[in-house]
Amino acid sequence: MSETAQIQTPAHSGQGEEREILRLSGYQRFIHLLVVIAFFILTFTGIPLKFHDWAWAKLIIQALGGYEVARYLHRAGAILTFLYIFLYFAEVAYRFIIKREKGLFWGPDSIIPRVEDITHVVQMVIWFLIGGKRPKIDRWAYWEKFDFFAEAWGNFLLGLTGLILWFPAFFTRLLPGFAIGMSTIIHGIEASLAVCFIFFIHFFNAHLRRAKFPMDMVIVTGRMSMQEFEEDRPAELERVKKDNALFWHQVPPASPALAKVGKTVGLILLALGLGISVCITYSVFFDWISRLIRFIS
Amino acid sequence: MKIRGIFYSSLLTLLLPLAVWAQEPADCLSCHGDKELKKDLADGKTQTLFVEQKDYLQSVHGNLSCTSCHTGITASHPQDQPGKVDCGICHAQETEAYKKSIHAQAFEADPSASPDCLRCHGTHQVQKSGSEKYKKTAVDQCGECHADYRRTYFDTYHGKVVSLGETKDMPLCWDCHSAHEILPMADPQSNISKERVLATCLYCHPDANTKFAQYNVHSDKYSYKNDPISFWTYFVMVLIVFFAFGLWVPHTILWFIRDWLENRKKKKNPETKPPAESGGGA
Ligand code: HEC
Ligand code: HEC
Ligand code: HEC
Ligand code: HEC
Ligand code: HEC
Ligand code: HEC
Ligand code: HEC
Repeated sequence: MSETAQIQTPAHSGQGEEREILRLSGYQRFIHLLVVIAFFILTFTGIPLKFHDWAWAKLIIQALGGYEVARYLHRAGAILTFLYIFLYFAEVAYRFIIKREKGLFWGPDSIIPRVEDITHVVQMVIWFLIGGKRPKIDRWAYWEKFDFFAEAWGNFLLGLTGLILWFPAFFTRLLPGFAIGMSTIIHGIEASLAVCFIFFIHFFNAHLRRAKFPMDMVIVTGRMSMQEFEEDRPAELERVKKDNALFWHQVPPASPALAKVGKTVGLILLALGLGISVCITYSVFFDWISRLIRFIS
Repeated sequence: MKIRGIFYSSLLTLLLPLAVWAQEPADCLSCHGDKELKKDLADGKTQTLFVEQKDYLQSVHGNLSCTSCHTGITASHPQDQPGKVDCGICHAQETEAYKKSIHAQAFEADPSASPDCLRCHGTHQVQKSGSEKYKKTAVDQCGECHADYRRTYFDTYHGKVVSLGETKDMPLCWDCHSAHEILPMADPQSNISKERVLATCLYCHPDANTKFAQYNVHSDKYSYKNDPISFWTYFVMVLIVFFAFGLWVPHTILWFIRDWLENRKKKKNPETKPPAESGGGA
């Protein structure tokens, strides 16, 4: 009891045996790890194919050990992607059917967008423009929800078109020949979009913005300090306090070794991801501008 | 004096043919190895008669004597008219195939617009056709006259892989079109005609079917006229890109600026701490 009381007045000191908020379960972090691994494999073996005439693309393929290697790694990445999609839905099914969790698909704890999210967007834009108070964000911020559904949509499109390109002879038994051409275009553009979105937008929202810079460790440790929790998710804190459930959300801090490894790996991946996104953006802009110049003249 | 002259000239006429028929490249190159050797053409231009020895020796024909191709060379050489070289005397099969092609027809109509053997292979620097060096240049050569098809080839899977340096299993232009018996799609004999294109794909895709072969390997997403399906697919995808970044790039930039402003404010008067400042937490 004394422990809960101590934590309900969030510490300013931030030292000692402070307890932290558990935001992501081990299973969720494991799935996110699979997402990261698959995403990086697919990015670095796939993107060079779309931007094949650029020196940086050829360099990446050379560094990987030739196209033959990239070809197999890309398929391995695809299998990993299907695996984590399956694992994700397996957990959702488990929590919904067996554990009969409420609020999985609706309510403040759900990832499904709500009316409040629209108000949050409006409040956030007002905050951007004139400052003042930030919206009181609950369990999932609207930008996290957008990230989630963008990733889901991307996985659906990329998975479907990827399968068509992997087994073109099989799929053309069902589909017309031009489906292959459409898949090539969709797969390439959606992949470039996903890569640039993740590394420019998601990385900024989750890691690079001032409050989290350079990396939000929550994705590694699953934990968030009470102070951060209060600043970032005030609505959730209020709700949890009202239910007298704060105690159940609190855990001891993660091991510093995990945090250290996570941070090192995370920062390396961050640099790699930003690097390839800059290359993509540069190439696309250069392409379009030269096309425009040719079109005009 | 006169007798000596007759003697010498008859000696020359006796020796010259011998010298000519035993010509090794080096003999011809004693004159043709000179960069300055030129010939005046009827239209006032000059044509160089220089033959680069290094290139020649490295070419597939490097160990042939010059006269095995230049069969028209006679003893009176610089004064004779050697005539054109006929590759067909040694490469009958390719020559027969070429004669049936659209390129041969177009060459007859306009030699500058369509390729003959020399345009594709060169004269004295013919490379082995299986060599990487030849493959790379040959695709670009086709592209000199078929720029759009070269572009669309490199815009689809086979070409992209080739562009990344993998030519081993991947089809180059002539793996689908054949190198010499190139015919337009409309000709039923063509490798890419409706009747035969499936067989062309089957060569490397053993599980191919009719609809698979209908996939246009030259599909062109930039051409609204030729390929509306690819064009609209491309168009919609570009709209999605603009939509996603149109929403989020301003969001990110504004957030960045606001963070920066808040931080400056905090630095200026650090004593006014929360609550509104730390994000409306209270
Ligand atoms: C004595 C120097 C000399 C030697 C040796 C010589 N050539 Fe020539 N060759 C010439 C000259 C000079 C011309 C230009 C004749 C003209 O203006 O029509 C010429 C022209 C040619 C042409 C014709 C070019 C054309 O378009 O009309 C060919 C082919 C040729 N030489 C091949 C050979 C070969 C093969 C040999 C070796 C067997 C050889 N030459 C040896 C001096 C030489
Ligand atoms: C594989 C056959 C081949 C061989 C071997 C060959 N040539 Fe030629 N040569 C040609 C062809 C083809 C042309 C283009 C003009 C034509 O069709 O007559 C040509 C043209 C020439 C010309 C005219 C200038 C030019 O470059 O168009 C000269 C001079 C010449 N050859 C010299 C030689 C000499 C010297 C050698 C030996 C070192 C040699 N050739 C060996 C095929 C050959
Ligand atoms: C005197 C006979 C002869 C003439 C004429 C001749 N070639 Fe050849 N060609 C050969 C020989 C011999 C080879 C070497 C074949 C080998 O190494 O397998 C060869 C090889 C080639 C090759 C490489 C074949 C491969 O397997 O990749 C090409 C291409 C070629 N010739 C083109 C030409 C062209 C174009 C001409 C006309 C300018 C021509 N040849 C005229 C004898 C000739
Ligand atoms: C449109 C360009 C083009 C023209 C014109 C052309 N070739 Fe070729 N040729 C090629 C290509 C490309 C290859 C390589 C084919 C391959 O690797 O399968 C080739 C290969 C060859 C070979 C090697 C044998 C083979 O089939 O691999 C010979 C010999 C040859 N050509 C001779 C000729 C002759 C002789 C002519 C003129 C009658 C000619 N070529 C005209 C493009 C051309
Ligand atoms: C010197 C220019 C030139 C080069 C090099 C060339 N072509 Fe052609 N090609 C032509 C011309 C001209 C035609 C006839 C176009 C017509 O009649 O509409 C043609 C026709 C064709 C056609 C039939 C399509 C049509 O529009 O009729 C195909 C397929 C083709 N070429 C493929 C190739 C390939 C493959 C290569 C390289 C191995 C190649 N071409 C190299 C000029 C060239
Ligand atoms: C994978 C096989 C394949 C490869 C590789 C390929 N093509 Fe084609 N090409 C085709 C097919 C199939 C068509 C017919 C397209 C259609 O359905 O409209 C075609 C059409 C063409 C045409 C127009 C023919 C016509 O009659 O209108 C040209 C020209 C051409 N290709 C040139 C090239 C060139 C140049 C290259 C190399 C840069 C190349 N192709 C590579 C399969 C291929
Ligand atoms: C010279 C051999 C060769 C020929 C001919 C050939 N292909 Fe291919 N193609 C390949 C290879 C190799 C691959 C790569 C297969 C892989 O990655 O598993 C491939 C892959 C493909 C793919 C998969 C594309 C992707 O994005 O994954 C398609 C579609 C395709 N080819 C269509 C065709 C069509 C249609 C034709 C007939 C006009 C054709 N190919 C002719 C060798 C060939």
